Amino acid sequence: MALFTRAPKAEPILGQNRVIAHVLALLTWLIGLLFFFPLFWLVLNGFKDELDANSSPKLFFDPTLDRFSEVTEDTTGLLSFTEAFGNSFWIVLISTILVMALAIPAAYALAIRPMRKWRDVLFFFISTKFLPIVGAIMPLWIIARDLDLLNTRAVLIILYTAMNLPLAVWMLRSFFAEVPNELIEAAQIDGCSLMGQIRQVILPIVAPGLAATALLCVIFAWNEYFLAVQLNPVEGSTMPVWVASQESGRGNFLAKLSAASVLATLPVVIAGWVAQKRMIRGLAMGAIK
Amino acid sequence: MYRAPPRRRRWTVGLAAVSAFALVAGACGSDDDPPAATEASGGDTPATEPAGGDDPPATEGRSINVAIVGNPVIDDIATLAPDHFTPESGIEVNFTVLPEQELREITTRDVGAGGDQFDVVQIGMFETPQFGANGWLVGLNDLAASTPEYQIDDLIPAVRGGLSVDGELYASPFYAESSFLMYREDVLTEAGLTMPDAPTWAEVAEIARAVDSDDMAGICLRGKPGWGDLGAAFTTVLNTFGGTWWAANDDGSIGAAQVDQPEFAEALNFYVDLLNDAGEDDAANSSFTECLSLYQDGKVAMWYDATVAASILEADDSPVKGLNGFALAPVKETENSGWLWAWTFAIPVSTSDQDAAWEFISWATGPGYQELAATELPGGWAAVPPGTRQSLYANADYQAAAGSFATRTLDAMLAAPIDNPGTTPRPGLPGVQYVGVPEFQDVGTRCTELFSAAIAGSMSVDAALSDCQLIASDASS
Repeated sequence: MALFTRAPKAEPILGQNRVIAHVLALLTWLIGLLFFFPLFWLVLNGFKDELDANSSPKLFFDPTLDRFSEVTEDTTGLLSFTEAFGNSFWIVLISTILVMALAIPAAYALAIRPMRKWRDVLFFFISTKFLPIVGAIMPLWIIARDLDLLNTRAVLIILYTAMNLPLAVWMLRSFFAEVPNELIEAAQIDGCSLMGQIRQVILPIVAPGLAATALLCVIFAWNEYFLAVQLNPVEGSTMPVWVASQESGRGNFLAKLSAASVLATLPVVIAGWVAQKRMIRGLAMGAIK
Repeated sequence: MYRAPPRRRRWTVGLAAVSAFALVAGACGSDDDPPAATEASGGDTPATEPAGGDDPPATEGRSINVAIVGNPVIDDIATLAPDHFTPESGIEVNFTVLPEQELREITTRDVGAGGDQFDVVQIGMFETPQFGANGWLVGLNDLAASTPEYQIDDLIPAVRGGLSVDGELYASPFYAESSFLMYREDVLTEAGLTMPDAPTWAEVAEIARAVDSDDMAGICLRGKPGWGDLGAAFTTVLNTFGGTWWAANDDGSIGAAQVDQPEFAEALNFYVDLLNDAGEDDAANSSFTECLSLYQDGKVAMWYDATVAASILEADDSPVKGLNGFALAPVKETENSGWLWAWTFAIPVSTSDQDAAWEFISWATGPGYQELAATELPGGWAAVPPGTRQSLYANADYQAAAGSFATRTLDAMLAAPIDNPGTTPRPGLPGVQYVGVPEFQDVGTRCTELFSAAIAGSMSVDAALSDCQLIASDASS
């Protein structure tokens, strides 16, 4: 599986252990394939025509790109692929930059220079995630309406920043906590300023963690549908709303929807692919291992 | 001074690569930035594109936001409006296409709480009278009277009645449907069976069981939970079996729940038994789309659902074109049982441009639109929005293109028992496949979850009925 990295070199295995290892490897592959299958089917359906996609499952069919050209066709007045992509891009980019800009100092304060009651602060951050978002949607809608923020990209930038901030603070804190104090002290002895310590000592060590956190924020914001459709369905709608608009209450739409889903998934998959090796290392490694 | 090992720097490069990819990809999308609606209200107005040599109307960049449901017949309007409505009226239309459930949530909140997000909303026959009675919608009688070409009297009476409160029309129907029985004439003929034009449920069940085989189920019925899915199909059966969800109080409010009555049990047992004996596989997860696929794939011999399905089954690219027969919705105790549903356009009172909103509605739902759709759309006359206007069924071109199902559809629409769908008075506003009270959405959805479990066999019909009785009783006043 592409999303998994190679396992570290294992000790030589003998006898019964070897059988168990093979069984486990087989099981891992099976589970991997099980997870991959819906995605495979989605991609396959995107290349079918509607009748093929909706009839009994077929592996062999005449592949066509028509569904992709259908969903990317521009119609005046309708949310187009390029519009939705552009909107998603800016909303995700700005909200992720904001999250990182706010989360890095917060994580530094919580991990490297812990102030009093830092644990309470940490739990306060995460407690904001306890309320199911559907329970907050009406107040959010009213506030957005009163501030003239309905159907703006700003409302999603604000909410995605708020949505991802607790997660980013928690993740970054754990990465910052792994920076050995000795390194910071050594830098201080060398006469390094606070900014210098952060830039030259801490950030290079936590860089994999920063990237992993940012990538997760990007994925969550890119895939978010509920807030986007509730607060911004008209102007500046995002990719998930565009995908959902391919659904049809009457008639066949599976192939079209699959093609749209493939297009919406592709950027995240590519971004994940580019970052995967380092990201897994970032998630799995401590600072000085 | 301490220096980070160069190896770490590679991370920065990796991050930069991700950002660079995103920037490049984003550049493709940023051409359209800011979005269409902002452009519309900007300088580039449609007045720069003269229509047919006439002076275009003074536009000043008027634009309206319209919410529509994802549905092939309805989506066509978005392809026709930019070339045929905007140049003549000077009004840009921004469409928001949403799945049915989201459309309901969003329009209900927008219309009810004055969000001013939309100038025109697409709502169904269930919501229209309720929103109208609440004073959330602009009444259309005066506007229609001032627009003779709209021809309000051409609307099919049952549809107009279902969208009116005290004679005031609150939404203009774009497309309407009833329900009927579609069946494979070739399969029945081969089995030596004949379907009556107006069958009873007993006859349909007998035929379904007779033609049911390992390769082809006898009948496809909705089993997916949801008041608009299983709830719609089952409620038409319930009505004609003499049952009802609630009794009505004298003032029309919700009376005692009637789920524990024998008629209700008989209807549900009939529905579940028929699906068990001769229904499609995985019936508990099937609704319109799933049954359509099964029917087109030759996996079911009959299908009871919306009349609009006929135009898909008889389309040129359909594998079952020409093989189908159509019969009125099956009955038991009542004369008719087909449902009545319409997707309509309505104007929320919060709109800032009522005139532009009406201009759009009268164009989109007027008789001229059907002519336009027939000439401009690839599907021709067979694909025009059906079920709203009597004149369509008198049109020779339409009869020629949609003859096999047009007459039966009109019969079903005219027969739909909107005012008196069952054998006892109903609470709330008129409705066939639903009860015209806001509580029905919740009760219908929760109860159909139980009924669907009974269809799947994970719950007994008796247990589903007794739990549903409790749910329905909570809503009784």
